[in-house]
Amino acid sequence: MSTFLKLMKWVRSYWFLVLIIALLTIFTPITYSYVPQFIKYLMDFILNSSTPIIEGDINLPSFLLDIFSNFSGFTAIWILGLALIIYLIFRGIIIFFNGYFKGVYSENIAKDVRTSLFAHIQDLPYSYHNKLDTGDLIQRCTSDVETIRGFLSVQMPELLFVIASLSAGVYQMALIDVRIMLVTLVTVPINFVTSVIYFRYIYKEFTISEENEAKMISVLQENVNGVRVVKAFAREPYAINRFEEESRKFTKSSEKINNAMATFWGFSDFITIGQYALTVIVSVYFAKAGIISIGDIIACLMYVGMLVYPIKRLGRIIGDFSKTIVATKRVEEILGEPTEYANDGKLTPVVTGNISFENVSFKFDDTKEHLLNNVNFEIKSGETIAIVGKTGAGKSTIVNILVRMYDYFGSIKLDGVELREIKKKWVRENVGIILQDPFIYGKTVMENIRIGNPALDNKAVFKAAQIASLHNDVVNFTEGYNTLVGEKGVTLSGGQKQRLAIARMLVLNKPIMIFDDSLSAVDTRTDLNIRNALKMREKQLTSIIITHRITTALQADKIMVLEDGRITNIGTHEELVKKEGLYKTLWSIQGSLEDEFKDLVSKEVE
Amino acid sequence: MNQFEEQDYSNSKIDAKIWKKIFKLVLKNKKHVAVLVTAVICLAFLDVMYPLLNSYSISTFFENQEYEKIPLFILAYSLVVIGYGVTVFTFIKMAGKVEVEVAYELRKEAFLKLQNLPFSYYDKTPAGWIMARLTSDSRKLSNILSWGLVDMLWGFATMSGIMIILILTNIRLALINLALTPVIFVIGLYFRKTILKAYRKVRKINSKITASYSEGISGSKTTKTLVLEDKTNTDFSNLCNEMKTNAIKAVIRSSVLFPILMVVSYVGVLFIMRLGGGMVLNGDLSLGVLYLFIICTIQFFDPVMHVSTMIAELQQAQASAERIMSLIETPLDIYDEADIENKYGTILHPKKENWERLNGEIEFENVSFKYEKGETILKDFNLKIKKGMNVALVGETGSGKSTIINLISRFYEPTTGIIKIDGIDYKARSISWLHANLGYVLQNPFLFNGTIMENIRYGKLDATEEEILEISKEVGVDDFVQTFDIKYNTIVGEGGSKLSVGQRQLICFARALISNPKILILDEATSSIDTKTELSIQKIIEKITKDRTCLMVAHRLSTVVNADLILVIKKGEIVEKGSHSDLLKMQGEYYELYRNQFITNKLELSKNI
Repeated sequence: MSTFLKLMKWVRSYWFLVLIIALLTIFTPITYSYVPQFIKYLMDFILNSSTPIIEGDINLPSFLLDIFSNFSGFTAIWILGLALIIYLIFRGIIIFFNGYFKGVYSENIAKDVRTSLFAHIQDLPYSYHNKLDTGDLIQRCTSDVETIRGFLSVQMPELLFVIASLSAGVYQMALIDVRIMLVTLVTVPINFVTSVIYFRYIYKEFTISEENEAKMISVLQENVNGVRVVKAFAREPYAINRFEEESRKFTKSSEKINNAMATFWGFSDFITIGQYALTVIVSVYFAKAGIISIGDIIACLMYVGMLVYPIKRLGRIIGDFSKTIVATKRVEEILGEPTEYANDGKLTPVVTGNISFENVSFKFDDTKEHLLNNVNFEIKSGETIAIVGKTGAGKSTIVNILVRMYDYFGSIKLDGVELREIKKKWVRENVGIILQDPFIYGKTVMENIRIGNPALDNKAVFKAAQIASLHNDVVNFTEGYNTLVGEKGVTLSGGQKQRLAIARMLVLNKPIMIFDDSLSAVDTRTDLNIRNALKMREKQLTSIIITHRITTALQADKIMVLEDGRITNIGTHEELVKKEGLYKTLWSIQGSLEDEFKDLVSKEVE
Repeated sequence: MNQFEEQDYSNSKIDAKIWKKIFKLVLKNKKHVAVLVTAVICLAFLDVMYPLLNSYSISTFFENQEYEKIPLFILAYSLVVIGYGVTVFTFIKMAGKVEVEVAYELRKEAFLKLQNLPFSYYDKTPAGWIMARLTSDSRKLSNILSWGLVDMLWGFATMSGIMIILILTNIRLALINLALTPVIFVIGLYFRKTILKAYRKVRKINSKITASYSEGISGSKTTKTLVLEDKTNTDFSNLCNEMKTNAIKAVIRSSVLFPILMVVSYVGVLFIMRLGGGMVLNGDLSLGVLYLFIICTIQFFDPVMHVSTMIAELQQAQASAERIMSLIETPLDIYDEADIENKYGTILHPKKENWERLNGEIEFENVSFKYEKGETILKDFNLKIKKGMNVALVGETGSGKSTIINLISRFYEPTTGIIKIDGIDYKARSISWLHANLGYVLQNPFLFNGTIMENIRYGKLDATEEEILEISKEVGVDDFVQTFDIKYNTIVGEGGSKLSVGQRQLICFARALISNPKILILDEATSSIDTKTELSIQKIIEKITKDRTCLMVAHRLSTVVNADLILVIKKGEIVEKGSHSDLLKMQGEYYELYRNQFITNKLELSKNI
């Protein structure tokens, strides 16, 4: 029930529209239920044109009957027909607006669910994004949203329609003859029960069939992806057998569904037409007894349809409901996750670039082990600090904390203000971080660079690209800065992506920049060029560089050595090479590579 | 425009050739089709019968009070009721049968073709394109071919049935229906087409929305770091609004169709009322017949609509058909000549008894190679590799070293010149013969989802467990397999995702070696593993390259140090040639490559000391 209420919250802001749709939906079968009355009138009139038809005989408004009775013969038929056409135009308008409003309502709901999901996902904390399964999440955002939308805008009105149609049909038939009405209702429970059973069964079978199809598709996918292996091992016959096996399984399960479908519809049409037969035959006996007229029987035959057809849809609506509940739960699971802004600071202080860490520790909620332990250090505005250490030492954790991707224990001050008191977005606007594996948006190079500031002129873009050593690569693309990159465009190399990310961050002129191993895919020479260009550019820039290259680290004002979440050393290159420890070891490996190489070659040549 | 982009076929003409091919496919199982057609015609007959019976009852019992005909009437009606049950059952069963059979055949033919297509096809065809042909297109096509065409047939049959009955009953009244038919048909067709077009646009935007979700999710950290949440939200919101506007446009079109058709058919009813009513008043017509005409006119637009809907959808079906057919009819670039097939057998039915032993001598004679439209990759390339020799190819990406490997493996064939295996042009033997004697290890260690045992057995389908264990121990698979709970029955996951890259690569070695191939090809087999694993693999490589001809393309130079011959390839030519120490002495290309490699390795190493 609580799930159902959650479902209803999407409807709330459209209550007026929903009311109109409900009214129009009810009116659709009700207006239809008067059409047979016109035909009945015609028949009664033709059969007995001399006696006027009065209100009790026919269920049409008295003003219409008055109008009709003013005419006789052919003119009366004309007038009756025209009245029917006008009435149907009116009914057509109701049907049209019903469809139109349902469309508007349905699309608005879909839009609301989609946009709130998208915005919410954007705001979920980094730790959530680290763990998620993209495929599953997209499925929830697409097909589950479709299920919810379909239920709210198709199945719910349909339920109303079924009820209205049944009631209108029963009412009109009861006016003609209660006994015939009761006879016509005989098959309604049968149709209802069989359709509920059928749709339950078929949903179960559909799941099995979908699983079989998925298996078949994965065999196919494996074969397309691994075609080199198949060919190199001459395993084509084996591949064909495997695929055929899965293909046949899928075919079998589809056929099973189909047989159920054939049985259900065969049976249900048997019942439905049987209902017509029963109604006609009973009417014939009634006519023999002189109880009902020709007009009555013709109208009755038209009403049978209002009772027997809609009831079959009821089973389907009931089947869909369980699907909708599952979909709603899946969507609400995402929306129920607290965003990272549930716990945000309020301050927006001026940032110049002084950073201090005091006893900062960090661990994930679901692990015991601390990734950072009592980290203490200080960076002054304009300084460059390098962080070195092994994979998993906690280097990235430090900078992720600094841009508020993670919460922390202890105290971090940004220009004297406690970091957690500052608005997260404000922190990120002032502290730029360039990731090792940056995401490139599916846009042109130009759009990607100025994504943070679309008003930027070309000159500034080129300049940033030049500093990031990207410009020369880009001008060699066939379409230059207008080259589409990302999934549907040119695939950039790892180094190009990193340089693009640097250019993209540079144009934003943030006072603090963090390079999270973001030159790892760039060769040593380009690395040096970029750092030199950066130095020439900004004097006030505070930068933190995470790197594995000692040649990069040694130019920093300060080098921090991180081991197992603790700072084991901090100082300048000259200071650190003299002390025993990790830095010295690294320097001994990387410090004289050229000489070492020459030694190796001379040994190997011998 | 890229030929693999999904084209808009909305304006294409009906192509008789395509449809001929399609019908051939449908008619593969003539019995089912015959039963289906019969059922559909029976159904149309019944659809005409039951208003006729109702009308008969009105005339006979209500107007003329001929109650003695009641038993006969009940009998007839009972037959119709039973008939409905039986025909609807048969019709759905058969239509479904034809549908799944056609889909099955389409997939089978396409997959068979895929197995025969040469490697170059996969190089230029996106995997997604191939997948879509075997899944959504075959589904769409088989659906339309069964239900769609049957719907159309039913529509035509019912339409004609009703028309015939009406004409036979009263030709003057029937003229009204006759006049109404084209009107309903044209309206239906026009709206169906615009509705389809509108929804096609909606679907396009929908796929953009899905792409946005995917971008929003995978780019979320970057978006956070750039504080772009507001911008991406606005972009997404705009896309959703665009979707909304277009979807509502489509909804308007489809909502207006039914009311229009309803009014149009009741205009027909109006004329029938007037004309028929007059006839009844004059005693020229019975009320039962008037009822028949009114009911038939009201229900008439149903079959007409079915026909027009189908015609509108045929274009889509044709688009699907064209795409599948283009796959099934792709010409083969690389194939065995008929006489070779006679002697050595086909890919599916090899005649292994006629296969010669392969020794492993390879020779390139003036080989040139270029891609279909592309630039020349190799030109007058000559190379002789003696049996048992161990040759390494090094060079930058795009230098042509992979092409040489692909040519030897006959994934591609030389544009000019010949490649000899054991002194004979390799085209004189079958492709399967070569592949069966080839061991091949790829850059990306690709495993099939299944157990480790099954994956190794892939290299030799009749391998015994002992053989598998033996080879696994030799290449180091056994070491890590023993640490798993269920040993060789461990499932490797899709593409091998549950194992580390290094473990996967070792399994690939085992798979390649279990058949004891005479030629072993290592295509950048060590480039996707880390430095630490590389060292152990290097030892294994030394072991396994003995006693067979071995070609390796290497990115990591540590693996080539011990090769008998190293070829440095640049722009399709051999620029340096010799042993490791020879090449270092030259201080040329190889020296530079080796130096860069050395530095990268050292950096890599210092990450994990």
